[in-house]
Order: sequence, then C-alpha cells, then structure tokens
Amino acid sequence: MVLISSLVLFFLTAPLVILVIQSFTNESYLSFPPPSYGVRWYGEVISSEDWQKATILSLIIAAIVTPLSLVFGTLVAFGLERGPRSGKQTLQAVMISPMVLPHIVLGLGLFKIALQFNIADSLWAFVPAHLTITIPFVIVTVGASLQTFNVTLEEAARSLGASRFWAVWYVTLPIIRPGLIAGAIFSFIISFDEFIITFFLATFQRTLPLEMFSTLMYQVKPSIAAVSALTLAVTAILTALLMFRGQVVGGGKIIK
Amino acid sequence: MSNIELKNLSKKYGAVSAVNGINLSIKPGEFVTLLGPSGCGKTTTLRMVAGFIRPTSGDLIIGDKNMIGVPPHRRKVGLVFQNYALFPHMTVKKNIEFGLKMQKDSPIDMAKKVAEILEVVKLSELSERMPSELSGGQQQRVALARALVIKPEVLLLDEPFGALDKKLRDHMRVELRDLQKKLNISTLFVTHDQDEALSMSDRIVVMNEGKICQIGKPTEIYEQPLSVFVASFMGLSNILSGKCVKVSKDRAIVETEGVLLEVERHELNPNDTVSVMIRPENIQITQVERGSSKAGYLGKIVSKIYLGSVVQYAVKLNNGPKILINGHNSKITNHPSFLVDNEVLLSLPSDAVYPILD
Repeated sequence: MVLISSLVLFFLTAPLVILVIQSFTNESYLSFPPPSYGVRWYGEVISSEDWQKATILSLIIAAIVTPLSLVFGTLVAFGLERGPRSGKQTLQAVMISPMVLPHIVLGLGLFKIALQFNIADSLWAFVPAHLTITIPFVIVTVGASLQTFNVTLEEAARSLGASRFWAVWYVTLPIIRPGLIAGAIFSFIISFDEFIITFFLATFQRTLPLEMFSTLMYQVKPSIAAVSALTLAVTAILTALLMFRGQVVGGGKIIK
Repeated sequence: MSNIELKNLSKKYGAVSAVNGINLSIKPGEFVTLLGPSGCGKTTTLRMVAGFIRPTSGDLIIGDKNMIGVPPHRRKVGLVFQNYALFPHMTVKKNIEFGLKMQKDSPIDMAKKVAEILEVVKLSELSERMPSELSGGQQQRVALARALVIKPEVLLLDEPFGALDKKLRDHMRVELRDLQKKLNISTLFVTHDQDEALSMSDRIVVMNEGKICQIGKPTEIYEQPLSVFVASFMGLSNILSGKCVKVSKDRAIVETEGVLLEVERHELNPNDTVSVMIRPENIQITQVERGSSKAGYLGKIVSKIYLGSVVQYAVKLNNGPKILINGHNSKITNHPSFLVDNEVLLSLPSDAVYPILD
C-alpha cells in the first residue's frame, strides 16, 4: 500500500517538482538538474511587460468571473434543491455537464456565438465563456452544502419575523459558507488557468495561459518555467486556503 | 394572549386530504394539544397556523385578523421545533436577539428584553455560549426564549420534547407549562405522546386521518372517549364489542363475547351494537373463595407482566374474552399477588364499563 501510494505520489508530483527546480536556473536554457541556481528568470518575468499584461488580464477576468459565478451557481443550486423534485436529476446533469464536456467542443460553440455577436477578443466574450465552466463547480459545492442544510432553520428565522430573503441571508448563507468559499476558490482557479476556451475566443488579447502558450511556440526559455512555478504557487495557495479551512471539498462541512 | 380560530381548515395534496375541515377555537391563554398518531394531520395543522403551509380552504384567525395569505414572518407566531432549530452559527444571545433584530428594536430595548427572557428561562450565565455547547434541555430553553422574546400572539410547539430523554422530558413538561401559565400565552402543542397531552393540556384535540375525533378536557378524553379510536389511543384499555340486550331505568346490559356486562350511563336501546371500554386500572382482581357468593367474573390468569408500580395481568374469562388488569403494586394497600394459571374473580363496577356508540 505504502509503496504504491508513494509511486503514485511521485508520478503525480515529479513533473511539477522538476519544473519548479528548473525555474531556478541561472542559465539561458532549460536543463535538469540546472548547472547553476538563481532567480534570474523570475526577475525577468516580473519585469516583462508582456507577462505583466497577461497576468493582469487573467486576474481581471477571474475577479469578474468569481463573484458572478458564485451568484448564479448559488441561485441554481437553490433552485435545484428547493424546486420541484420531478426532473431534478436530469436538470442537474445538464447544468453541470460543462464540467465533463470536452472543452474544445465548448470552445468551438462559444467561438461561433462570439463571432455572431461580434464580441470575440474582449471581456464580453471571456467572462461569459469562463462562467460556463465555473458555474457548474459552484452548483456542485453549494448544492452539497445545501443538501446537508436543515431547512427548519430557515423556517425558524421566518417565524421570528425574517422574510424569506433575510432568512436565507442571515441563516442559510452563513451556514453554507464553506460551500460558497469552495465554489469561489474553484471558480477563481479555473478561470485563472483556463486555456482551451480562451484560445478560441482571443485574437490579440492574451491571458496568462495564452501568453505561456505563445511563448512556447517560439522558444523554450526558462522564463516559461518561472511563470509556471508562479501560477502553481497561486493555485497551491488558494487550494491550501481551501484545505486549511477544514473543507471537505464538496461536502461543505467545517471540522473544528 | 389572543384567541385563535381555525374555521373549516383543510389541506389537500392532490386527491389526498392531509387535514379535512378542522374547526377549533383556542381561548386567550389556553393550552390546547393536538394529539394523534403520525400522519393524522396534526403537524400539517400546526404548520398552517404558522404559515408554512397554505390551506386549501378554510379560515384562520389570530387575534382578530384573518391570516390566510399572510406570510409566516408577519404572523407574530412563536414556534418551537422538535430539534429546536437553533442557529448553530450564533451564540445564545444572538439567537434570542434574532427576532428582535428583525422587528428593528433599538439595541437598548434588545438588551433589556434578552436579559429578561434569559432570566425567565434561567440561562443568564450561558448567553455567550454556542448552541453546540449546551445540553438538550438548555437548547430547548433557548428555543423557547427565542420564540417568546418577540411576544408572539400564539406559541406553537411541534413535538418539542421528542429529542429529550425521559427524565428531562418530564421535567421540561412541568417547566414549560409553568412558564406558559405565567406568561398567559395561547399555546398550540403538537404531540403523539398521550402522557404529555394528559398532563399539560387545558384541552386535548384528538386527531385521526385529518379529522378531529374529539375535543375535551384531559379527563373527558381519557374517561369518556367518544370513539373506539380515542379510547384505544389514550392509554391501555379493554375494548369489547357487543350488543345491548336489556335496558332498565338507569342501567343497561350489554352482551359481549359470551359475557353480560352491566353499564351505568346509557343512551342505549335494546339491540344497539355497542363497544364497551374498561380501563385495566378499574377492575378489581381477587382470589376465588370457595362457597362465597360474591358476584363477579371467573377467569384464569394467562400472563403477568411486572412493571414496577403496576403488575399487569391478562385474564381469560371463563367462556369469555381476555381482559387486561392492572394490579397496583403497593405496600400501603395490600393487593394480593397472583401467579399465572391462578383462578381469579374479577369485579367490574358498572361505572367502570363505559359504552361507546361508534
């Protein structure tokens, strides 16, 4: 058991570990192990205008996508949980299907629509496109929290003079907060890392993953490893945040 | 302290009637219990009063206002749930403050009212605790305080003792009833537990299959049930069906399963089919004495169950039915003890045999 687990762990993390180590090279080419160490490429990346622009664009998109995703996903989760039972399963399956649908198919479809409305290569295309894949994650995490939520609590609030809205606001939302936080973090990470769909929609605009890709097209410089390591760090920090709060991902329970 | 009136209140789910034309009026300060087996419509009725279920037809009046169509948060109804439904993310104080916050009380008023009600439920020291740090009894007191602090027109209790162990339950019963009397608040209490109903209520409403079977004081419900259902739901009873064979001035004779029983009160006519109820505690069980001419019914003990303060015998009457008898197990009155297969004599005073015309 231990042996197999270790092998799997190695298999899963080795590429990342190697990449991170390579990013600290002082040479102008990638090699493993690097002959000399330093943060030369990090400096290069941070001061590069192209990388800065791409990072900012990705952050802007993720920052708009996350709250929208949270609001819409939560509304859908409430609808699925509280609405009529008949057809619930099917509706849920359809709603979360973008999670499993090949993104290339989704990207192609969105590309057509973006052309139609003449919004390609803008936030008007990127944000809704990202929402199609982030909202399902919120539906799942918030939905799981709602399933374990005791509706009587809402009724108690209503009997105490809270309208339906305020009952949800003061009682339900604080209690399902773990699910909301998980949904938000997922949305952010997914939007920030998204490549395939954005690739279809962008012409001149470059998000961080697009910038990485186009850099790779011309040359493989250690800067790409540095960017990857930075992206990895952001993702890791957010994931750690998720774990640190004692989240059971999807279960939405706080373990004290 | 308002009166509550349910007028022909009904709830249908498709073709199924959950509640079927309930009429009930609760006087100010009265403690009324809805009692019945699960699925009898008692909880549906309570939830209609609370406003969570919209009645299919009928009227609901609280105070002098018709509440049909009024959402729960505008009804001024205090509700205590079976599992208390305390807000787990708020302290005791915040839980109790919630209703006051919703009615936009000033912080000064809020602090005063919370302190008062905490005093009443004896929880002043625990106001900063979280609900998860409280015992079951304490949680229930918080739930009560939270419901009462908004000075509701009516207090609704939905099986509030269900989650407590027996000893605490008995204690909370007394405590709740005292509090209800002190605050003189009209109360509608839902339970399936007849002991709770008998010990707490001013009046009991026995329900079955969406309808009211009987409304009355606890003694009336227990001693003068109007139907076999009420008789058998309220405690243990022997119910024998038979036929009236003879009627005299104030007595009647009922023949049931081969024995003749004398019935005191009667609106009976000869040949009426009738059920009679005999409570096990109203039957005297004695030894058979040779040569004695003492009247009674001879029988043989077929089983004996020791229940502490009571010993329960099942006696098969000669050529007659099997009857349950509670013998008191007391050192004060010297009740004889019997063994299985003992021959015994049962005496059934005519006022212990209660006829039910179904």
